[in-house]
Amino acid sequence: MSYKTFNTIKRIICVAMGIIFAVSIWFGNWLAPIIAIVVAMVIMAVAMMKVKEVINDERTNHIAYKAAQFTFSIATVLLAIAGTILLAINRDNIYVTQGYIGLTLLFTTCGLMVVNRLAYTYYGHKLGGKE
Amino acid sequence: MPKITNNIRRLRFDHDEMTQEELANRVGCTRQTIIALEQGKYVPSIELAFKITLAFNVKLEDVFQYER
Repeated sequence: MSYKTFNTIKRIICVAMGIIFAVSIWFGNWLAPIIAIVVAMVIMAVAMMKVKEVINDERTNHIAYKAAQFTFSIATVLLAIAGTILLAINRDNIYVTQGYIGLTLLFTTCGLMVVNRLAYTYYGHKLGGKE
Repeated sequence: MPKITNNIRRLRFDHDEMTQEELANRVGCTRQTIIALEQGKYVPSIELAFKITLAFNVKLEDVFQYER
Protein backbone atom coordinates (compact mmCIF):
# COMPACT_ATOMS: atom_id res chain seq x y z
CA MET A 1 0.00 0.00 0.00
CA SER A 2 1.30 3.46 -0.89
CA TYR A 3 1.45 6.41 1.49
CA LYS A 4 -1.17 8.19 -0.64
CA THR A 5 -3.66 5.33 -0.19
CA PHE A 6 -2.93 5.30 3.54
CA ASN A 7 -3.68 9.04 3.73
CA THR A 8 -6.96 8.50 1.88
CA ILE A 9 -7.96 5.75 4.33
CA LYS A 10 -7.03 8.06 7.22
CA ARG A 11 -9.25 10.84 5.85
CA ILE A 12 -12.17 8.47 5.23
CA ILE A 13 -11.90 7.18 8.81
CA CYS A 14 -11.85 10.76 10.15
CA VAL A 15 -15.00 11.66 8.22
CA ALA A 16 -16.72 8.41 9.23
CA MET A 17 -15.82 9.01 12.89
CA GLY A 18 -17.25 12.52 12.73
CA ILE A 19 -20.51 11.23 11.27
CA ILE A 20 -20.75 8.37 13.80
CA PHE A 21 -20.07 10.75 16.70
CA ALA A 22 -22.65 13.28 15.48
CA VAL A 23 -25.33 10.60 14.97
CA SER A 24 -24.52 9.02 18.36
CA ILE A 25 -24.89 12.34 20.18
CA TRP A 26 -28.14 12.97 18.30
CA PHE A 27 -29.60 9.60 19.40
CA GLY A 28 -27.93 9.60 22.80
CA ASN A 29 -26.07 6.36 22.09
CA TRP A 30 -22.71 6.05 23.88
CA LEU A 31 -21.85 2.53 22.74
CA ALA A 32 -21.51 3.30 19.02
CA PRO A 33 -18.62 5.80 19.39
CA ILE A 34 -16.65 3.38 21.59
CA ILE A 35 -17.06 0.57 19.05
CA ALA A 36 -16.20 3.02 16.25
CA ILE A 37 -12.99 4.11 18.02
CA VAL A 38 -11.86 0.50 18.51
CA VAL A 39 -12.67 -0.44 14.90
CA ALA A 40 -10.92 2.70 13.59
CA MET A 41 -7.83 1.94 15.69
CA VAL A 42 -7.68 -1.63 14.33
CA ILE A 43 -8.12 -0.42 10.71
CA MET A 44 -5.41 2.22 11.20
CA ALA A 45 -3.00 -0.28 12.76
CA VAL A 46 -3.53 -2.76 9.90
CA ALA A 47 -3.19 0.01 7.29
CA MET A 48 0.04 1.24 8.90
CA MET A 49 1.49 -2.27 8.73
CA LYS A 50 0.59 -2.56 5.04
CA VAL A 51 2.37 0.68 4.05
CA LYS A 52 5.70 -0.08 2.43
CA GLU A 53 7.09 3.46 2.69
CA VAL A 54 8.36 5.09 5.87
CA ILE A 55 5.52 7.05 7.51
CA ASN A 56 7.21 8.41 10.63
CA ASP A 57 10.77 9.56 10.93
CA GLU A 58 12.76 11.99 13.09
CA ARG A 59 11.43 15.04 11.18
CA THR A 60 7.78 14.06 11.65
CA ASN A 61 8.52 13.35 15.32
CA HIS A 62 10.12 16.78 15.62
CA ILE A 63 7.06 18.38 13.99
CA ALA A 64 4.76 16.48 16.37
CA TYR A 65 6.89 17.61 19.35
CA LYS A 66 6.76 21.26 18.25
CA ALA A 67 3.00 21.08 17.63
CA ALA A 68 2.39 19.44 21.02
CA GLN A 69 4.53 22.05 22.78
CA PHE A 70 2.66 24.90 21.06
CA THR A 71 -0.75 23.33 21.75
CA PHE A 72 0.11 22.77 25.42
CA SER A 73 1.30 26.33 26.00
CA ILE A 74 -1.72 27.85 24.24
CA ALA A 75 -4.26 25.48 25.83
CA THR A 76 -3.01 25.94 29.40
CA VAL A 77 -3.06 29.75 29.14
CA LEU A 78 -6.51 29.84 27.53
CA LEU A 79 -7.96 27.33 30.01
CA ALA A 80 -6.50 29.26 32.94
CA ILE A 81 -7.91 32.58 31.66
CA ALA A 82 -11.34 31.06 30.92
CA GLY A 83 -11.42 29.32 34.32
CA THR A 84 -10.46 32.49 36.20
CA ILE A 85 -13.10 34.57 34.36
CA LEU A 86 -15.82 31.99 35.08
CA LEU A 87 -14.77 31.80 38.72
CA ALA A 88 -14.81 35.60 38.98
CA ILE A 89 -18.33 35.69 37.54
CA ASN A 90 -19.48 33.50 40.43
CA ARG A 91 -17.87 35.72 43.07
CA ASP A 92 -21.18 36.36 44.84
CA ASN A 93 -22.39 32.76 44.41
CA ILE A 94 -25.04 33.79 41.89
CA TYR A 95 -23.76 31.95 38.83
CA VAL A 96 -22.92 28.67 40.57
CA THR A 97 -22.78 26.55 37.39
CA GLN A 98 -20.27 28.92 35.79
CA GLY A 99 -18.23 28.75 38.98
CA TYR A 100 -18.10 24.95 38.84
CA ILE A 101 -17.11 25.04 35.17
CA GLY A 102 -14.38 27.56 36.02
CA LEU A 103 -13.08 25.35 38.82
CA THR A 104 -13.10 22.32 36.51
CA LEU A 105 -11.12 24.23 33.90
CA LEU A 106 -8.59 25.43 36.48
CA PHE A 107 -8.14 21.97 37.97
CA THR A 108 -7.76 20.54 34.44
CA THR A 109 -5.04 23.12 33.76
CA CYS A 110 -3.27 22.19 36.99
CA GLY A 111 -3.58 18.50 36.12
CA LEU A 112 -2.10 19.08 32.66
CA MET A 113 0.82 21.01 34.15
CA VAL A 114 1.49 18.29 36.73
CA VAL A 115 1.46 15.58 34.03
CA ASN A 116 3.77 17.73 31.89
CA ARG A 117 6.23 18.19 34.78
CA LEU A 118 6.16 14.46 35.61
CA ALA A 119 6.76 13.56 31.95
CA TYR A 120 9.60 16.11 31.81
CA THR A 121 11.22 14.61 34.92
CA TYR A 122 10.78 11.06 33.59
CA TYR A 123 12.35 11.83 30.22
CA GLY A 124 15.05 13.88 31.94
CA HIS A 125 16.10 10.75 33.86
CA LYS A 126 15.65 8.46 30.87
CA LEU A 127 17.73 10.55 28.51
CA GLY A 128 20.46 11.16 31.08
CA GLY A 129 22.25 14.42 31.85
CA LYS A 130 21.91 14.04 35.63
CA GLU A 131 25.20 14.32 37.59
CA MET B 1 24.55 32.69 12.71
CA PRO B 2 26.11 29.21 12.22
CA LYS B 3 24.52 27.22 9.43
CA ILE B 4 24.76 23.61 8.32
CA THR B 5 24.64 23.14 4.57
CA ASN B 6 24.69 19.94 2.54
CA ASN B 7 25.43 18.53 -0.91
CA ILE B 8 22.73 15.87 -0.92
CA ARG B 9 21.17 17.07 -4.17
CA ARG B 10 24.50 17.05 -6.03
CA LEU B 11 25.48 13.68 -4.56
CA ARG B 12 22.15 12.18 -5.66
CA PHE B 13 22.79 13.23 -9.24
CA ASP B 14 26.37 11.97 -9.04
CA HIS B 15 25.02 8.57 -7.98
CA ASP B 16 23.14 7.67 -11.18
CA GLU B 17 20.53 10.39 -10.61
CA MET B 18 19.21 8.70 -7.51
CA THR B 19 15.65 9.81 -6.75
CA GLN B 20 14.63 11.39 -3.47
CA GLU B 21 12.38 8.41 -2.80
CA GLU B 22 15.22 5.97 -3.40
CA LEU B 23 17.49 7.81 -0.98
CA ALA B 24 14.67 8.06 1.56
CA ASN B 25 14.12 4.29 1.38
CA ARG B 26 17.86 3.63 1.75
CA VAL B 27 18.27 5.78 4.85
CA GLY B 28 14.84 4.99 6.34
CA CYS B 29 13.14 8.36 6.29
CA THR B 30 10.32 10.01 4.38
CA ARG B 31 10.76 11.68 0.97
CA GLN B 32 9.57 14.92 2.60
CA THR B 33 12.57 14.78 4.95
CA ILE B 34 14.95 14.53 1.99
CA ILE B 35 13.18 17.51 0.37
CA ALA B 36 13.49 19.51 3.63
CA LEU B 37 17.19 18.59 3.91
CA GLU B 38 17.93 19.65 0.34
CA GLN B 39 16.12 22.94 0.89
CA GLY B 40 18.16 23.53 4.04
CA LYS B 41 15.03 23.73 6.16
CA TYR B 42 15.91 20.80 8.37
CA VAL B 43 19.13 19.70 10.05
CA PRO B 44 19.30 15.91 10.50
CA SER B 45 20.31 14.00 13.59
CA ILE B 46 23.80 12.51 13.74
CA GLU B 47 22.30 9.08 13.05
CA LEU B 48 20.49 10.18 9.89
CA ALA B 49 23.54 12.14 8.77
CA PHE B 50 25.69 9.00 9.03
CA LYS B 51 23.07 6.93 7.22
CA ILE B 52 23.15 9.43 4.36
CA THR B 53 26.94 9.28 4.17
CA LEU B 54 26.74 5.47 4.08
CA ALA B 55 24.15 5.63 1.30
CA PHE B 56 26.56 7.70 -0.81
CA ASN B 57 29.67 5.94 0.52
CA VAL B 58 31.41 9.22 1.32
CA LYS B 59 32.73 10.98 4.43
CA LEU B 60 30.48 13.09 6.65
CA GLU B 61 32.25 16.32 5.70
CA ASP B 62 31.69 15.55 2.01
CA VAL B 63 27.95 15.74 2.62
CA PHE B 64 27.57 18.29 5.40
CA GLN B 65 29.40 21.54 5.97
CA TYR B 66 29.33 23.77 9.02
CA GLU B 67 29.48 27.48 8.20
CA ARG B 68 30.30 29.92 10.99
